[in-house]
Parts: sequence; C-alpha cells; structure tokens
Amino acid sequence: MTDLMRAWKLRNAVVASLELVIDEVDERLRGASHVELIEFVDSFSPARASGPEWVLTFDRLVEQLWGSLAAADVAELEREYRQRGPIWAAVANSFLPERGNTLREARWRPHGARRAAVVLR
Amino acid sequence: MTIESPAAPDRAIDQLRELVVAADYPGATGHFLGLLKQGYQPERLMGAAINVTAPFVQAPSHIMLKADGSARGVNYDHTILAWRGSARLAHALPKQTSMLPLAQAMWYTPQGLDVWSQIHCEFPGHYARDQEKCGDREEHRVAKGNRFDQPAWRGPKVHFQDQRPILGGAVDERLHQMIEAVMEGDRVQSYGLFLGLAAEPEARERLKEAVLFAGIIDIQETVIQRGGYQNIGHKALRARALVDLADQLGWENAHDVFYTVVPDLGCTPRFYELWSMTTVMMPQEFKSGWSGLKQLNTSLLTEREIDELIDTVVWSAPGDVTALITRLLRGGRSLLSIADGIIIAYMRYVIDVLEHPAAFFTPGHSFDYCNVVNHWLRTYDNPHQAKALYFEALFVNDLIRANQLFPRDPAAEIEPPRRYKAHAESLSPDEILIALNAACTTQEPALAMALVDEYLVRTGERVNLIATLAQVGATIQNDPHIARLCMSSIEEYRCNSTSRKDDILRGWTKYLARAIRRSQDTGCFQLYKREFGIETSAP
Repeated sequence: MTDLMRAWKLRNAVVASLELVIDEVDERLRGASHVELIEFVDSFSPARASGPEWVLTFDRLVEQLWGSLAAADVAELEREYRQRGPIWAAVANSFLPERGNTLREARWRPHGARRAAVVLR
Repeated sequence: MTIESPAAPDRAIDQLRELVVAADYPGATGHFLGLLKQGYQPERLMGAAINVTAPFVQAPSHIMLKADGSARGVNYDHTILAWRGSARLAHALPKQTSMLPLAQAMWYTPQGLDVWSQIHCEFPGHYARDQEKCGDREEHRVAKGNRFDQPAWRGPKVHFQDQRPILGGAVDERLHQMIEAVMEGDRVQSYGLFLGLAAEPEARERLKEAVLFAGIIDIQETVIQRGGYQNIGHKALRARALVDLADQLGWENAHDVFYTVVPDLGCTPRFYELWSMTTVMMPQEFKSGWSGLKQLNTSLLTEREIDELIDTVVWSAPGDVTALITRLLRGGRSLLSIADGIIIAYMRYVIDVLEHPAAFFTPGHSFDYCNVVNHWLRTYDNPHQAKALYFEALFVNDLIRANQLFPRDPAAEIEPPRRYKAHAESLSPDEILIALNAACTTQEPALAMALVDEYLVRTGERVNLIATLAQVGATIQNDPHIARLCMSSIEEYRCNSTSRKDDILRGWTKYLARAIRRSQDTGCFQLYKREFGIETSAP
C-alpha cells in the first residue's frame, strides 16, 4: 500500500468513526431530560467551561441540537436562557426559531453524498 | 512637593488649565481651538494640557480593594495615549481636518482625570459617567442631566507627587537600577533615576530603549478569568507615548510627559510571568545563542509559515503558540518577519472571526502592544528582543481565547460582504472612498468590507485610502483607543514585510465599521467644523 493509499484509508476510518460519534451524540441528546440539557448547555458558560476549546464547540452543539430535538424542546431551552437576563442572550438567541431556520437552510448535502456536510469545529 | 514648570505666564493658557481641571471638556476644547486659530503652536497647547493634567493622572494602584474584600481593576490613564495618537494621526489627514485629532484629545483629556476618584464617584469624567454609571445611583441623582458629565465640584486628587532627579553614577548602572526599581515597584526611585538620565542628552537613546523594554516585559500571561489582575499591555503603550511625545515636544519640555508616564510603569500590579518563562526557556532551546538571534536570523517567513502562524495564533492553545515561535526561530526566520506575521494573524482574526461589536475592544490592545514591540524591534537593539515575539504572539492568542470563552451570539452575525460586491464594482475608486467613509461612519461592516476589498484589488493607491480611514477615526470622540488604532494601523502597514499587508487596512476598516463606540455623538467634530468654518462629507 502506498503512503497516499494508507493516508486515504486512515481518512475513511476516521470518517466512519466520526459518523458513529455523531449518531451517538444525537441519541444522547434525544434521550436527555430538560434538566440534563440545561446542565449540559451551562457547561459552555465562561465560569463552567474547561476552557475556550470547549466553548468554541458551542456552535456545533447548537447545530446538532436543532437536528436532534423537537422545536418545542428547543423553545424550552430558549425560554430558560432568556429569563436569565442579557448576559445569556447569546445562548438564548441560538435557540430562537429563526436560528433554526438559518441552520436548516445552510445545511448542504453535496450531490451523491451519503450525509449532509458537518462542520467539525 | 510641587515642581514648577518653567513656562512663561500667559492668561489664555491659564484659562485652558482652569477649564481642564474643572473637567469642562466642551469649554476646554472650544478654548483650545480658539487658541489654535490665533496661531498658538499645537505643541505649546499640548504641552500646557499635559502640564496641567500630569499630577492628576496617577493611580495609587491599578488594583482597588472593595468593601467586601474582593479586588477590582483601576483603569490606566488614557490622556497621554490620546495626545500621542492624535499628534501622529494629524499627518495622515487632509489639511482642513489635520487638527481634528488634537481637538479630540483635548475633548477627552478633562474627562480622564483622577480615575481613582472617578471610580469612587467622587470626580466627574467618562469612567464615572459611562463605566461606573455613578449618575444612575440614587445618592447621586440630580433633577436634570448627569453631575458626572461636567463640571467638577472639586479638584482632582494627586496620588503621586512629582520627584527630583537622581543624578550621578554611570549611565549603564543607572539604567539597570531604573529597570530594577520599576520591576520592584519602587516608583520614587525609578522615576528619579529616569529624570536624572533624561537630563543627559547623550543618554536619551538608551533611555528610550530602556523605558520601552520596561513597559514591554510587564505583560500578563492571561486575562482569562483574571478580572482586574491584568494590564492588557498598557505599560508598553505608555512607554511608547513617552518616547514619541518627548521627541515631539523636545526632551527639555517633556517633564510633564515623564511625570505622566514613568511613575505608573512601576505601579501595582506588575506581571513578569512571560518574561520569566522566556528567560528560562530560551537558553534551554538556543543555548548561549539566544541573545544573538536578531543578528543571526535573516530569512523571511514563507507563505505556508504565515498560514501556520495565523492558524496557530487564532485557534490553538498557548503551548502550541510557544512551540511554533520556537520552531520559526530555530528555522532562522528573522525577528521582524515573525513579528509582521503575528500582526497578520491578528488582522485575520478581526477580518474572519470577530462579529460582536463589544468583542473588538480587548484584542485591539494586543495589536497596539505589538505595534510598540515592533517599533522597539525596528528601532533599537537589545539582546532580549527575541523573547518579545513570544509576548506578542501569546498576548494576541490569549485575548482571542478570552473572547472564545463566550458563546457566539447569532444575533451579532455579520452578513457576507460578497452581497455588496456588485455595488462596489459599479463605483469608481473615488466613489468607493466616499462610500467607505459613509459605511464606516454609519457602521455597516459588510458594505465597508466589500468596498475596501474592491478598492484594494482595483488600485495600488493607498494614501487616499489611509486618509479616508484616518478621517473616520478622527471623528469618533471620547475614545483614545481609536486614535491609537489608526496610528498603529498606519505604522504597521508601512513597515509590514509580508505579501499580506493589505490585511492591515482590511482589519482597520472592519474595526471602524463594527466595534462598539463609546459615543455616537460628534459634538467635538461639529465644534471643530464651526471653529474652522469647514465642510466635509462626514456628518
């Protein structure tokens, strides 16, 4: 096997693993209670986050939440963070229906692709 | 102890002093402009303003202990930054508005006195009025207006007395003692030594280098979750202001600039974590050759290395940044080439990532800090200069990471500039500049970015573009950061060795068109236009 072939094989193996991870997160999000979701989203706040690397993935979480949860569940999240005041506005705004629409419209599935494209980070 | 300035008595200048100390910023600016029209030299008026404010811009500390035992930060004096920025910005502007930055500095100065008392709601100014919102507090409410706007009901306090020069001894020895005193926080000693050295013309070039060095090495490792325990580069910014203003006013006339800047270099808190880290690390990495890297390393960054520097500074952890700077130095890349690459990394962050208007302010300090470091690298020699590349890159990276700690707000999203591409393409270069001025003034970032992109692609002309951006900056009031941004952008653009120096103009444009403004009011500009009877395209 050439170096190029080995690199491409490695790439495909990672893709398969990544798809499994995304499915796993999707399952967990669907199965989470409202309280569990709130606790999870809270972990992206400056005071609780393990660091910028964790918070930087918040946009990716929002994308996945809009893909995994029912609109009513996302609306509950929006209510929770809106009532916490302006300091949480960025989080609350991520759960507005307009944001969900924007993300849905931005989803891109290249011709012939097995799944829609995923932004990693 | 008060040390008198030797200026000749002049009633008009005395009036200016009275208006400044009374925090009457519109009155002081009107009077200032009137004197300019009468033919007073800008340097004389600037010197008079700095003379009257010098005793009132010190702070006992930049950390204040609150009643509950917790600590908060105390803002650094910005009046001297306003004077330095405005004096230099004047050169980039057309003749009719060339005095506007000075007017802006005058407008700001009476609002920036005795910051310590302002924080206690005991003196008016923009910190008391806008930051602490003293006027909103029950005990300070008045029937009409805000008593923390102006005028003052008492004089500003003196928190550090002027000192006598310490004379005698070898220059080398005194420079060393001065740096040591700054690092130990002995303000009386460091300031006295500085004054003694400043009186000796043959010592001045080395003194300038040393005071920049003292400011540059005092930089925090991180601002993340540190509250007031940081200086976001202000020690270096002040040192640069001293060097520029002393040269402009003449060292014999610059005592009040020294009084404004030097004692504060030793003020609490002081941060030497990065200095310590590089002092340990560099001999490990480069053996005894670390101090000769400036002379030894001569090659430029490759395009791929610039890409890597951008990606690492903007998106990676501090350890990765340190490792990359070390690798580039080991690869023979010149100090200035790496420094120029760091500037481009900062600019790509502004251009590609920043969205929220409030998120520009703190990272902007790291750009101005880099400008001070780069000036020091370009102008002087010091065996420790390679260490400053780590300070620059880690400081920029840290402020980016500090922003990254807050989830992105989709409500602050900026529309893609490409939506305005066709419109920009339909304009002539002159029309683009007029539209760019308007888009920056009204803060339409996507339009402004499309316009500047089109201009940069269409023409190699840059002088008028720089004048346009400088003109926008000059109309923004109550904020010395803007004059500083303009000046740093112009200097870095002129000196940057990379193929991507136009990114500095893009980043400058986006900052003007998007960053939150302390004031939307243009009272100072209106006053300037009335006084000088001019009309411009800006509001």
